[in-house]
Amino acid sequence: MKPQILKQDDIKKLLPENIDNLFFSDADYSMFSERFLTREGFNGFKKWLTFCGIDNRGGQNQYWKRNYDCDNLAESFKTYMNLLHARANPLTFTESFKSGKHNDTTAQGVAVGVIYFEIKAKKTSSHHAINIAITRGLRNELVPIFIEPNAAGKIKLTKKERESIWYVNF
Amino acid sequence: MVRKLLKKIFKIKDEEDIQDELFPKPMYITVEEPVVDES
Repeated sequence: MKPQILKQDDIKKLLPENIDNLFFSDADYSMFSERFLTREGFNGFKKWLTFCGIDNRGGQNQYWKRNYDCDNLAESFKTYMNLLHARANPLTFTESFKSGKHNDTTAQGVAVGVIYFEIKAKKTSSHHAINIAITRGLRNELVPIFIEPNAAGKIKLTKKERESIWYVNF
Repeated sequence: MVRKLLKKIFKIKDEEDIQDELFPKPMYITVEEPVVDES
């Protein structure tokens, strides 16, 4: 068994159509299990934030701060998951070539991205940043899941919210 | 062995323990490797 690798087109097929701003910064991606993304990995992320001095203040704000808000938390989650991926696959191409040893996967990144979407209330609307990750669901199918990095973990978006996604960056 | 015991008794965390807590080993989605038929 070896880590499955997705290409950009594999991910595109799983996203809502007509997203105005869709970016890929790597050519291919491995995936973490949903359990890891929402449990062990998520717990590590929260500890890492605390280690960096971003404390959970409880209440509604949790890890949110005026100068470290939703976009910063979502970017951090994406970066943290890619850090774990890089730590798990430490050999450079040259090291691998010289030693004859290989990393578990050659994937450039892990399929965790940042999304922005619109939250509409009766008279107001605002924009919010969270994470999207590609993983395998209960029936072993490829699925996008949404993760609120501000302590909540896996969340569901409404149909309207999914349709309002205007920025995705993997 | 003694070191491990002392660490447990006094709840001492060294750098390796802290790194393990902060950076858990990821669980990847895996697939079967294709079998190459060389016959």
